[in-house]
Amino acid sequence: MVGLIQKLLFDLIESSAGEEAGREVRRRADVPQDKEFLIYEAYDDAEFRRIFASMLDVLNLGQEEAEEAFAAFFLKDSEVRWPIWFKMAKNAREFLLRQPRIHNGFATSQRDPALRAAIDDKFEVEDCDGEVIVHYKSANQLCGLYMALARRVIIHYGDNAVVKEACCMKNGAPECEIHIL
Amino acid sequence: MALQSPYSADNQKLHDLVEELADQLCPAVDGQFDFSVKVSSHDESIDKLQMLVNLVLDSASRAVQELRGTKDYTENIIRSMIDMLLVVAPDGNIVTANEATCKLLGYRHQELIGHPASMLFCEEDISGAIRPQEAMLHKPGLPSCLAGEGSSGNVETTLRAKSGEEISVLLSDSTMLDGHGQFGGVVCIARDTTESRRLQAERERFNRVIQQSLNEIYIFDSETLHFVDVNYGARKNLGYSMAELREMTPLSLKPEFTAELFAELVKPLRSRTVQKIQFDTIHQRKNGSQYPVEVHLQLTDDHSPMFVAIILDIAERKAAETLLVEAKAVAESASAAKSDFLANMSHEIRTPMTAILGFAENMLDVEQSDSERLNCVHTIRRNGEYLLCLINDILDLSKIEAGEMVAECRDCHPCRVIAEVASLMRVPAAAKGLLLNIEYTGAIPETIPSDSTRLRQILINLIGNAIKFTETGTIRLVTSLVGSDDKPYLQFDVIDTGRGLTESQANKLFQPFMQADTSTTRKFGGTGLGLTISKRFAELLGGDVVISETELGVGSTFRATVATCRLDGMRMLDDPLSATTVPDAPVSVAQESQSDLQGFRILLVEDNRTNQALIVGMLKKVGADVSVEENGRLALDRVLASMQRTSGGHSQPPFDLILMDMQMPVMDGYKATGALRKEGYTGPIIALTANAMQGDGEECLQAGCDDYATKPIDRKKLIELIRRNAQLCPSQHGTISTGRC
Repeated sequence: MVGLIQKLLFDLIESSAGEEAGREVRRRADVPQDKEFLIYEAYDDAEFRRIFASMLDVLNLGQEEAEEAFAAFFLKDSEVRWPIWFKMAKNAREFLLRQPRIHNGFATSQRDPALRAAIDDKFEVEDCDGEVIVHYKSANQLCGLYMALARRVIIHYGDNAVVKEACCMKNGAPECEIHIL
Repeated sequence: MALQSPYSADNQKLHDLVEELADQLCPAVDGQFDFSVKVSSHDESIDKLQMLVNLVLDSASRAVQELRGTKDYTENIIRSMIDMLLVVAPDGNIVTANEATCKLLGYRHQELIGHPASMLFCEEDISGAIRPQEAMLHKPGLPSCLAGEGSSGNVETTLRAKSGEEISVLLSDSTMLDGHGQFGGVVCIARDTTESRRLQAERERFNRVIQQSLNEIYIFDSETLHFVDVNYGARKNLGYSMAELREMTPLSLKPEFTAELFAELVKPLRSRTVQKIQFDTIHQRKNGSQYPVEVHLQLTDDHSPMFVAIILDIAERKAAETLLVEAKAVAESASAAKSDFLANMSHEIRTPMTAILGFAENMLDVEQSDSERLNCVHTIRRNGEYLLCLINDILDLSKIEAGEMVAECRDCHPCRVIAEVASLMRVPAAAKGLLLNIEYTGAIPETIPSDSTRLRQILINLIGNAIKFTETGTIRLVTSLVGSDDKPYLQFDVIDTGRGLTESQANKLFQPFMQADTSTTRKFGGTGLGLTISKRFAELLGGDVVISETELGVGSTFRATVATCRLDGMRMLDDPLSATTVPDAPVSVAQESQSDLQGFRILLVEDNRTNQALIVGMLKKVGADVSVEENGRLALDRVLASMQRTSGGHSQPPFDLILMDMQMPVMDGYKATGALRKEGYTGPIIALTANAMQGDGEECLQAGCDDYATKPIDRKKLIELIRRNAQLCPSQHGTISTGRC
């Protein structure tokens, strides 16, 4: 997983619960206290899952609640960090169609094929007569986070769209299929 | 040396990071984008920049790889094309040419690229009509086949190779637009059709040959057995159309065959244990007629096996085989007859030879009286004559069988011949107490163009046989003119009251070396060749000898015919019997004049002392003056010396006649005669030859002799021959021989 996620996750924890909470999460997740997550580097998915789970415990949040909180934080950061991407899209649909390419762009710093593969191609998007269908396939099973982010994007553009998950890996499906219409 | 920096420390650090990023980007100058940049900045802006730079590098790298892949892919396609690919730019010059083009046309790649495409097209393909593209190209010479809008489809045209060779191709072209939608050139794909045309021509020729073959050729499905193709020769012979045959199988043509029999027959072909089978069978035409055939059948070895049958009509061969069997039987029969004949010949030769040797032995007995010795001499002479007759018969038959006997065509007096024969044959007839009557029915031509000698031999033989096989009664020779005006014949019926013949005996009587009954040979003697010879002679004279009637114990009628040719203007004898008179008895030795050749000067050239003595004795007895030389060389010297003396004042030529033996040591008669003629000797030369075969006499005449006599020498005939030639003196070379003595 690209380091931007971990970095923003710790930023969220520390900004909402203090630096001690951040340290506690690192301790529980077995992450060195001085480890810095660079936004373009790839990191171990298992480590991320430990961080996320620890965050839920430390901040006493449910899964969906945490995902919604992180999505809001992530999008707010992105609007500052990557404003041009938002300008490049006229609406949420255009943004979401481009989203896999932006995601994969973070993998371009990786020359190691294995590390690159850990980032690349988690998303595949279809444009079906105005409906955006997203195929998500990752051991991290963060389809909830994606749907939260999508809703935030829709809100960002002031569009009117519904995000639904047709099938989910958590329920045994080979991939998660998310429809935005 | 490090660049001097105008920045503050923080800015300197940022500057250094940017410099480091820039340095890492430098390999891109080589078009290489397959790398990423990485700096440790702890600055999110730098990190962001670094991530985006890597994104750009990655995109560029992917694009380059994709382009290379596309280029390689395209080049591989073009390279692997069997057909020629040629791209012609708007200026008429070639911009792309694949390997197949270079290979086929014999150009190197660089000899094509940038050169006008028109150099590849033959003149007749360069149209005078300029199409819009040509105007754009400013190349009026662009081949017409490349001048159409869009695609011209497939066009048969001819390209010119570098060597000048013209190559037939099937060319298709299409207009290419550039990125701005403007005319960008022409893409041509051409396929060499030289080989395919040759193959097509070969296929057509082969098909024509197959179709026109007089042998029948069938191709039929190996499973359904239905005909797939049948050549024209077969269709014509069978009488079926191709449409009809497609509904049929070969079994429909084979009345002898069942499907089971055929399946059994082709088992070895299906199992591939043999490549071909051959069998004879019967085929039936549409009209129901049947004919024997020899079938050569094979099963093709491909994904769709077919039976291929070549059918030979063997009707003629079968007929020939039948004839061959019959001919073999005839030959075996002839061979058996020849063996029988040889057995008879052996008997016939040994019998007189025994008598000759026996009586010669008796003559050595000093106690014999003169009358007993005279009796011995008569017996020896009689048997010797018989032997000579036998040899002459064999020679005659040999000549006839070899086709070398030629009949003369001179004025022949049939009545005179009949009278002579009657005179001759009345003697033996009378000796058996038989009468020989000569009768004529109607008028007879005085002369006919024929061969009197052969006619005489025929009649003597028929009458001789009649006398031989008749014990009592009369022999009649009835002569008449028969046939049509266009084709008249003289018919001679020899009617006897003899023993007659069975049908079986009559059937084989005229076959060479065959007699009615070999046992009769022993009882009645004779060679058994007389009738065969007579029949052949009659055939030579345009007629035949047949048994007209025969009845066992009653008698036979043997009929001889000879052609007379048309009788227009020919004198006819109304009473032939009285028209000719011939003495009834042959001239005896006693009646010969002792002075027949009185004073006649003869040179005998003979190496054999016995023959010298014999011939000298014969000639001196009739008054001839005989000189002898032992070989041709001595004779030549002697004659030439005499001629020189003659030309030196002597009034008479050296000899009146030369008798020249043809086989001699030192110089033979042929060379000696030739030399004499060359030296100007014009006197008559009579050859003496022991070679009685056809052609020997002609050889003597060709050597320069006037006539020839065959050994053993018949005294009377020799004297007659000398007398006849002496009258011709001086020699008239080239006179036709009247036959051997």
